[in-house]
Amino acid sequence: MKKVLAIDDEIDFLTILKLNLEGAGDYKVIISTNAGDIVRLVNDNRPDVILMDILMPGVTGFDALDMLNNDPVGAGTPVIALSALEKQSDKMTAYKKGVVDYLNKPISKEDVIKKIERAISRKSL
Amino acid sequence: MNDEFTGKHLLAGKIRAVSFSLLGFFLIFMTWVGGYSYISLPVAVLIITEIFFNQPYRFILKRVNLNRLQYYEMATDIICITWITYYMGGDEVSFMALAYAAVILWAGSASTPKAVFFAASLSSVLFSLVIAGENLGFLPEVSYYGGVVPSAHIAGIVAGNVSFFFALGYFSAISAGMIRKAEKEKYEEVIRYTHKLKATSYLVGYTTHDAVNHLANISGYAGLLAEEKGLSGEVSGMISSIGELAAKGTALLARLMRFSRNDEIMEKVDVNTAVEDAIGLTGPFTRYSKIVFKKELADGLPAVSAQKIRLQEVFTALILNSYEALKGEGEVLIRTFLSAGRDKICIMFSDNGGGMREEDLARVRTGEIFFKGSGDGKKAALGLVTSREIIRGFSGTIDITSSPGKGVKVEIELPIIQEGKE
Repeated sequence: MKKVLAIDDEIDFLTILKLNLEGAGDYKVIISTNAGDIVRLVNDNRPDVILMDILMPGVTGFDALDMLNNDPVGAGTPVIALSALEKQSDKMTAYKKGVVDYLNKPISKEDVIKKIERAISRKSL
Repeated sequence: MNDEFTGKHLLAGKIRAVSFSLLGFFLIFMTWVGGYSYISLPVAVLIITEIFFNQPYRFILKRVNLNRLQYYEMATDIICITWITYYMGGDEVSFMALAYAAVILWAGSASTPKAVFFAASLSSVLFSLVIAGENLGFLPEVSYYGGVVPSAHIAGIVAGNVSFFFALGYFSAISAGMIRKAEKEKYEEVIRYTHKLKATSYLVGYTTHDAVNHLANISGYAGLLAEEKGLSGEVSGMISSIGELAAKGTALLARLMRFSRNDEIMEKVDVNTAVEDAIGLTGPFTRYSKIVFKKELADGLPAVSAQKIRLQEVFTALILNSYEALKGEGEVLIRTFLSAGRDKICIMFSDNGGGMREEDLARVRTGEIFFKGSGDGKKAALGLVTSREIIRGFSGTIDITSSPGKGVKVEIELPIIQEGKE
């Protein structure tokens, strides 16, 4: 079973994502609304891929990416950024900080599964 | 260094060089046609001094205090003018007095009342000394006609010119002050409005961000509900409608959110998409009118290098301007096409409204007023000058043409991205 860590300040979004992905089959989704916990969550759960929002109060997605890049386990985990902002400069910053893909909200179940599978297959290469 | 003040110095230098060159040519011409020859070594030296040595060369501007330099320049001007007046003498005094006036007017328009007072005072003192000195016998007689001028006449010339210098100085300082005050008020209003717009833009951006998230969640829950087993066809249809309406709302808000963002990155922009987005963005505003938006967007246009949002700001302003000008009824035509040289994309916005008079058009071009028909311009938010700055930033051009009764046509040209030069 593939493990997905999803971080967003919107609990409803996380609930929908979890229900959709777990309903689709071979996924276990761990959700969190606190990006500050990212390193602990990655080390505790060893996810195959992380889905993370960029614009969050307090610790933002960019801050969390910095924390992740300084962690040996986190640095090797692919991250897919999620955002409703769709700002070109944010996208570029996210890619510079190491995200492997970027999804603009609202997202479809099919798209997110496609991106997750692509990120996992790239990681295993 | 104050760029505007530097610019005024440079302009004054050019005017000085041209004026004194013309004076030199005039004196040579006078001699050539057989008139009285004013040419002498002192006159030649004075003219050359003004043309070549009293110039705000850039290497000087970089090293000196501009406020002090202006006094040096004005003093040199006035000294040279005074000696040329002396060497020419006679009736040419009144002609040369215009040169003093030019210095005094420059001081008013470019500098402070203190500089005006300096220019008027120095002009008065030197002019009086030279005229009175020559006629009272303190300076050698150089006037070509050599006649005796009564002292009362000399006193009249001096008093008249000195009064003229100070009156002109007063007028120059007061009018320049009024112009500056009006410009400052206009600038402050623009700044206030820009700040308000920026604040609104941030609020819209982040509010729509949250709204998009909520709608995305509604859509997501609707999707999950739709997958439940045993739902009746009617319930299933209603759930499906919830999802569709949420998706429509999301698309609408996402467009607004993209527009409100402040993205400064240059990107490859499809002009037709930017036009469509601008039309879509203004749709909620324009659809309650009887204005018909006609599009003639050429297929397969190459991309341009621009900031898509900034470009949309210009397009949106043009659409809103047309909307305002048409007063609720009429036709707006938006065309995109490749230029004849196939190196530029042309975007044309035209309406069949009342059009503009040439004088209003000139004021729009200089930024004195915003687009015609947009009231005080605040609804459209962007004037032609701002739009031109944006378009110029993408190496493009924008022009506006109009005549009364024939609507307004705005044409934008943007260079296409050349292969290998992205």
